[in-house]
Amino acid sequence: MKKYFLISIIALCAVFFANPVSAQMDTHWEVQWNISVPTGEFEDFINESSVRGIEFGGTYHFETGVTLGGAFGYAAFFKKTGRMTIDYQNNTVTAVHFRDMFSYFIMAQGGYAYQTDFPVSPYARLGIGAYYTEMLTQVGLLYWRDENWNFGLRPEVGALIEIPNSGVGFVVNAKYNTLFNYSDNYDNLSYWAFGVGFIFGF
Amino acid sequence: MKKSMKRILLPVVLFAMAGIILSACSKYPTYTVNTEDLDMVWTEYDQSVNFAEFKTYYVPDTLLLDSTMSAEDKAYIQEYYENILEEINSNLSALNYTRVDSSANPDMGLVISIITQTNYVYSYSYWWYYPPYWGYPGYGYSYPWATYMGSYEEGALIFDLADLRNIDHQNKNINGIWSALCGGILTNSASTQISKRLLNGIDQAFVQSPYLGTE
Repeated sequence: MKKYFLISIIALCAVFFANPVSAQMDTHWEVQWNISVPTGEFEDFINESSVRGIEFGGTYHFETGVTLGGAFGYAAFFKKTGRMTIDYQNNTVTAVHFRDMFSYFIMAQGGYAYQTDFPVSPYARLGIGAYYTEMLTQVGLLYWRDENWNFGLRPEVGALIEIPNSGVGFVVNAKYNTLFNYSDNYDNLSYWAFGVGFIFGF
Repeated sequence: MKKSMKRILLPVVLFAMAGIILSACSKYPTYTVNTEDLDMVWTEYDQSVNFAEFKTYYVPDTLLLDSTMSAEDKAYIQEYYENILEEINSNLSALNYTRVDSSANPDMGLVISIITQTNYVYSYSYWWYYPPYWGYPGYGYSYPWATYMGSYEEGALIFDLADLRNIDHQNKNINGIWSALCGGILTNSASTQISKRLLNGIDQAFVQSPYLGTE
């Protein structure tokens, strides 16, 4: 899975350090706070949304509206259950469960931003990259820790809102993260991330 | 105009970004952990055993304590032993098992132990002692059916039932057939609370083991 991480790094470097001559570009940088919501099988493990998420990114805007960029960030999920009884083969355990999941990602992104006469630019983009996750489970005093590298996809829609003549603005978006072949227990691990943040550098 | 706007907005944006980063990056959980939250009751049994075939059990008078435990800790824990023993006997009695003396050929042997050291477990079988309690000194004590679960931290009450009807005299081995672990119960210094948590843990061990009983 580390190869996906390397591919993502290379893709990011290619985007940021390339010197295209065929199109005039405009660049912006982003810092986002993400509120994340587990879905699918992941929701069975942690069914609480998370306010612990941060993301940094940069995007080139071509004249055609096509965008290329990259992002890296972090999301953390936490869940404390009530006392529950679980059967496992010939074992039965009654305890409170503490479930934590930390997701770190780095990805290349490509998409399209609709340019209008207004300071609002709706956009859609797709991120492809690597996710490193750390899943911690504590049952009473028993403790398990799993680490994984996964390839992931992240479609995203949102809007860039520029404060006129300021060079700064805001971004709001919705992103759906999917980590493929996550582990023996999960086929795919997925969660929504709803981001709000600042953009600058226009 | 554009330059003055930038001069005002950029510090504001940078300050706000710093706030976002600081609050969103924390790895500390958003939940709180109380001492009682770490209490755990874990039972495991030999699925090939029919517990209805057993009618009597013997329990020694002494409590097995972790050999690394300090004299002070041993004295501290020993004072709970009567309550522990009474609660376990009460539960076994409710399941129609009869407590007998070692000379009465008991069907099962009950051993109660408390450990305080951190340990890794294969199941929660513990290999650092063997109990010569049931009149078979030198015999080993094993759980061939146990499965790996994880590790536990300090502070656990363990009580086990062993099969004294089918002792492997050739290999000098006695099989454990049921085990219960109440973990985390020694993590609070308030004695009344420990006692309550201990007794609740013991009761829960029997509640979650419906296969026990003579019927």
